[in-house]
Amino acid sequence: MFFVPGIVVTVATFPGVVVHELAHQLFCRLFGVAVYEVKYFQVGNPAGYVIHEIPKNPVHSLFISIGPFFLNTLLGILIAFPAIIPYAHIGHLNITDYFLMYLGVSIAMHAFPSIGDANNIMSIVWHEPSTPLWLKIICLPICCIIYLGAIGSFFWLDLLYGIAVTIWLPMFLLKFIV
Amino acid sequence: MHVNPESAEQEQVNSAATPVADKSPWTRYCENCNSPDAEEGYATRLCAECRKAHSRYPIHKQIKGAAILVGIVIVYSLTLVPERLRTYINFEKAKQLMEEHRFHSARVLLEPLLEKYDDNLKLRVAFMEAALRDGNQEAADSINRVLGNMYFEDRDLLAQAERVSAELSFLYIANDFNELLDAHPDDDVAQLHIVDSLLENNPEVVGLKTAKAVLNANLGNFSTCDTILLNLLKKYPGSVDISRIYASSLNAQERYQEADSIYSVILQHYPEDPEALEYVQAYHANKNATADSTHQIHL
Repeated sequence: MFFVPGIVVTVATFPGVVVHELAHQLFCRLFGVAVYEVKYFQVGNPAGYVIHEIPKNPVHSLFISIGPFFLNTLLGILIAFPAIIPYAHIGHLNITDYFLMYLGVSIAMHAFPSIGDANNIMSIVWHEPSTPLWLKIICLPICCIIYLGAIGSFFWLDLLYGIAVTIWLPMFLLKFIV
Repeated sequence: MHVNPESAEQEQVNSAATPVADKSPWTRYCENCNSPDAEEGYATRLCAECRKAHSRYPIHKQIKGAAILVGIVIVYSLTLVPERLRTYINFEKAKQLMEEHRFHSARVLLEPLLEKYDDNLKLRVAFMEAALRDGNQEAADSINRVLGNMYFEDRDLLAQAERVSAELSFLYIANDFNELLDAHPDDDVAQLHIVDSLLENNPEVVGLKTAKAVLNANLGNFSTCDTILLNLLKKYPGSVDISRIYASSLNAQERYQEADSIYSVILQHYPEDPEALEYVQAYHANKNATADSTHQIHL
């Protein structure tokens, strides 16, 4: 384990940050939630953000917060998959494959919602008295996972997740094809 | 990250179009256009139209351009998937076939893959093994010569290549010995003398011993040939190459049943061995034909 400043990792994997913010924005658009400002990427903390109003429906809040988890994961898998196939059996990678794998992993590793996203879920969904109990029950473990993911990012958990979903999972699934 | 406007220190949307004095304290005015139709249920006072307009916050041109590029990359990479999946499936099938000792089918599957990924070590080693076990020693040897100059990062793959290479060189006769033998192409007696003299100095070279056996068989000295081959088979009981030569010698002596039993044993271990298959099929076809003709005579 070695220490690399977070900003270096963020800059190196900026496509993932852009897709992450785009996912928040697209989910806002989907639920008709007003968006005031979007920063897709910046060298700083946070690396990107979306400023939007508080949605009327707490379920929308939840989906806007965890939207990147779905979009980044799906896009990462989709992009890296063609490169994984020859890698899985003969370990063959050409330049295009390396690029696809970089793009896939960097997008998937930013799938995890940030601590800011978890705070939003907690404040809007958990602490809101009008939020139904079932939604609170669903949101609590989600928030815990997000917080754990944020802590785990110190130990490269985000990178590990990116590699797991874009490389290991397809390799595992490919075994069942034959 | 997404930020709620209430918690962020940000510039609020300018709402100075309607004089404050004209506003009713009981009406929710839109922050954006000051219309008195701000939607209920939201913390932010916006009318339906302004909310819709805000929700469609423009996506930057650069982001749209990048998205189009990524889209092109995805479409391009997805076009590669069917061909790559076929390659993957064929390679995995070839590995399975090799585990089942069906080396001919494995070689047929691996050949086009090797043409496509001709610099790939894993494929080369797999093809070398399939070709060797399929009886195509020339193809295996040409791969072996290329592999000799290559660096292996994968230790297991190196071990596999070394094992196949050792098997390949089992019946190998050094080039200078071959040159001596080639000097008398059609003279079995002269060649036998050369092999004998070479064996005096190199008594453990299996290739020379099998060459001696074959030359003896060519000269009709089947007992010497069989003795040599049976001794070799005692030492290397699993050797298909020696078994093939021995079966061939038995066939030449018209000891068909014994030859058939040896070829059958070979087929048990290597169900696609071309020489054994050809012999066993011909032997049984011949046997059936004899039985049929006998049957017809009795009718």
